[in-house]
Amino acid sequence: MFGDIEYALRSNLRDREYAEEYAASFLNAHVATQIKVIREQRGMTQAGLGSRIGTTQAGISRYEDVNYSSWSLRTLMKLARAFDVRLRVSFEPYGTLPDEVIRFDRARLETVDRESDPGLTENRIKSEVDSDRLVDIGAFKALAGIGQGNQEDIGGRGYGSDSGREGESPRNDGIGRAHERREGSAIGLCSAIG
Amino acid sequence: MKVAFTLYDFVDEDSKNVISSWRDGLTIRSKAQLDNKLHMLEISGSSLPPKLLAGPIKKTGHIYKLIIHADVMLRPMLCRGPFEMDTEFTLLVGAKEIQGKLIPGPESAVKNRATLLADRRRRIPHVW
Repeated sequence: MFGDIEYALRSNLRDREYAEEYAASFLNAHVATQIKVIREQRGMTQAGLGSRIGTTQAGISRYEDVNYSSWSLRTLMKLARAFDVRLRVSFEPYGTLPDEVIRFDRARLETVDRESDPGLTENRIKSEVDSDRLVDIGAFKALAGIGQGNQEDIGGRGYGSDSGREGESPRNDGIGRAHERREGSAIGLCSAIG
Repeated sequence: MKVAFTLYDFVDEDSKNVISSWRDGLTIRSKAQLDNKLHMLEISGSSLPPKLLAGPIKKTGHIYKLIIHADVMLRPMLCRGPFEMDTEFTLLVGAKEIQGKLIPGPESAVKNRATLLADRRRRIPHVW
């Protein structure tokens, strides 16, 4: 049962040595399995994938091994490019590991390429851009003092504020929100091993 | 939610779990690696994670080894089923590989499997 695995694992992960080794083992297995799953999802052979990243069929076979542990960020980025996906690397607390382990399945490892990416459809892009523009217009108007009666009015009902805490500077509110949104997008483009 | 496979451990004639006893003698690092590979086997079987199992071992017919590169080359031996072939694995004996040789040899796993086929009580669900 998942419950048995999860309970035992959470308990064992309190030991530092165990946690380090378990996490390394899972990371290696996860990366190896996801390479195989995405390659199959794309209908590629090991030789075909190898030629895309400048290695041989044997090289890909070596990566598709749960015990392979000599990963380099450079190789992983080449694989990401070949699969037309981004690579994500992040540092995580050990407590998140049991959830990842019990959710380890093919469907979760498959990843769409840019052509089929639901986050990049035309409608999605349009709605994101429109909502950003509203924030930007609000920030601009707040800065220029256009259409604003007074400070309280801006904070409570101004263009740029959709939460508008009372007494908070409307300038900071409007600009801060637009800035945070862009920063969020930039973080999403960083690299990591999932 | 249910796991995809159920793991069982072989027990000896004194009802002692031979896999738990073997695991108890491993280092913490080896235990962590072993547990991770067994979790993957129970959660997704042997077809999803590549090269998790090797086999069947020559001249055994049904015996596979779990590949673990820990402090030492751990190679616990197991079989599918042997009663429900699509939903079970039974761990038959703990082993290491030294200079390409399994210790103990695969014949011990073959013998334990035959014992189990003759007496279904010679296994219990794997203890996590």
